[in-house]
Amino acid sequence: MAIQTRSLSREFGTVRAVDRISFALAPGQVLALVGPNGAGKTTLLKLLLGLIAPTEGEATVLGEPCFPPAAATAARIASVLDTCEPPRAARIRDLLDLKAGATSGFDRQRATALMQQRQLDVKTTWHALSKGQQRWVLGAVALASNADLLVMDEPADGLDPSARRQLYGLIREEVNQWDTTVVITSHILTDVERMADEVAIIKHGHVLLHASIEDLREQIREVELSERLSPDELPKDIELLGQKTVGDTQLAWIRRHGGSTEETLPGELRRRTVSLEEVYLALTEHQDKRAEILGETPCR
Amino acid sequence: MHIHLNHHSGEPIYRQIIEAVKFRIASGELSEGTRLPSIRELAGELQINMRTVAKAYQVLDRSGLVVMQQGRGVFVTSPQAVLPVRQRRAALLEHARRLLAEATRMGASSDEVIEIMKSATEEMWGRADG
Repeated sequence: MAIQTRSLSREFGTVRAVDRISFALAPGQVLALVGPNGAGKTTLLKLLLGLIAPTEGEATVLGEPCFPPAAATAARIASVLDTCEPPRAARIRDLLDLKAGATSGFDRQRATALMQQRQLDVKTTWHALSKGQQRWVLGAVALASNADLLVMDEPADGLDPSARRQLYGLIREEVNQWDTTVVITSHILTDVERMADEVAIIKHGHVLLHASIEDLREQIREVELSERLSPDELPKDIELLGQKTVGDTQLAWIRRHGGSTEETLPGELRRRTVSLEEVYLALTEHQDKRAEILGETPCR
Repeated sequence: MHIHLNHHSGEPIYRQIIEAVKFRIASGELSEGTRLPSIRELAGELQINMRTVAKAYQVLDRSGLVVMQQGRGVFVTSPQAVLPVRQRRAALLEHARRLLAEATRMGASSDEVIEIMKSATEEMWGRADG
C-alpha cells in the first residue's frame, strides 16, 4: 500500500479535525478527498506529509511512518499546499532553482516546458501572477519532481477550465507512466468524477464513504420506493444511503456492495444512475438529518 | 480509436468502452483481425486509469469479441459475433441514418429509399420480406 492509516486523529484544542480515520491506498491510484469546508481534508493531508503530529493513531506513507518524517521518504513526495507560499519577489526561475537544489529527482527542463505550456515566462515574479497561474506553477513544480506520491490540496483552485483539464491530464499521464500515487482535494465533483480513481467523502473529520468511482457507478442507483420495495425489506446486501420525498414519490439511494446493483433489483423497478454530486449530497445531508433525529451533536 | 466517454452519467467507464467497441464491431468499423490500441495507448488517449481499460478488454476477451495475445496486442476476432438485439438494432440504425442523410442530399424521398431497400432485399434473398 502506498498509504495506510489506522485510527489517525488530530485534535486542535477541543476540536477533532481528523477523527479516527483508517484507510489504505494502493500505488498508482488517484484518490480525491471531498467534503464541506472545515471537514478535515487539509489536516489529513498535513498528517500524511508529516507536517503535523497525530494525537492518536498512525499512518505510513510509501512504507514509512509519516511522523516524524524521514528525509528519504520526504524526497519521494511532492506537494501543493497553501502554506508553502513563495516570497512575493521570487521569480518562477528562482523557485525552479530552489527546487532543483533541494530535490535530486527534479526535472528542471520538464518544469520549464510546463510553464511554457501555459505561456508563463520564468522571469515573472510571484506577486505578478494571478491566483490561477500561481496554482499552475506549484502544480507544475510538483509534477516535475518525479515523486512517487503527489499530495495536492486543491491543485486546480483558480485555474480556468482548460488549465484544469490540462493539469488533470498531466497527473493522469504521470500515474499511468510511473505508477505514481496521488491524493488531491477538490470541491468540483465533476472534475473528481473525471480524473480520480477513488473518492473519500469526509465530514466532521470522518470518512463517510471511501470507494472506487467505477464501483460507485456500478453499485449506486436511485430507486422509487413503493409497496414492491420498502426500505425495511431491502435485500441483505443492499445499503440504504439516503431517502427523499419528491411530490408523492419516495426516492431512495441504494448501494449494493461487491457487485452490480442491476443483478439484485426486481427488473421492473424504476431506477436511474446517479452522479457523484448526488451521492455526495445524499450522504452529507443524510448524515445531518440522522444526527438531528438521534439528537447527536456532530463531533467537532 | 476515438471513444466519447461520459464521466457523469453514472455508467461505469469500462462498460462505456465495451459498448463502444461492440458498436464499432457491429457497424463494421472494426473488422476481423483489426488491432485495437494497447491498454496503455487507450488509457493515455482517454486519460483514464489503465486498470479501467484492462477491465474492459478482459470482458471483451471473455465474451469472445476480441482476443488478447500476450506481447502482440488485442485483436478483433469475428465480425459475425452474435450481438444482443439492442446493439444490432443500434448499429443498423446508424447505417440507416447515414443512408438517409445521403439520400436526402441526393434529393431522394423517404419512400424512394424504402422502395430501394425492398428491391435490394428482393435481389439478395429472392423475396421482399427477407
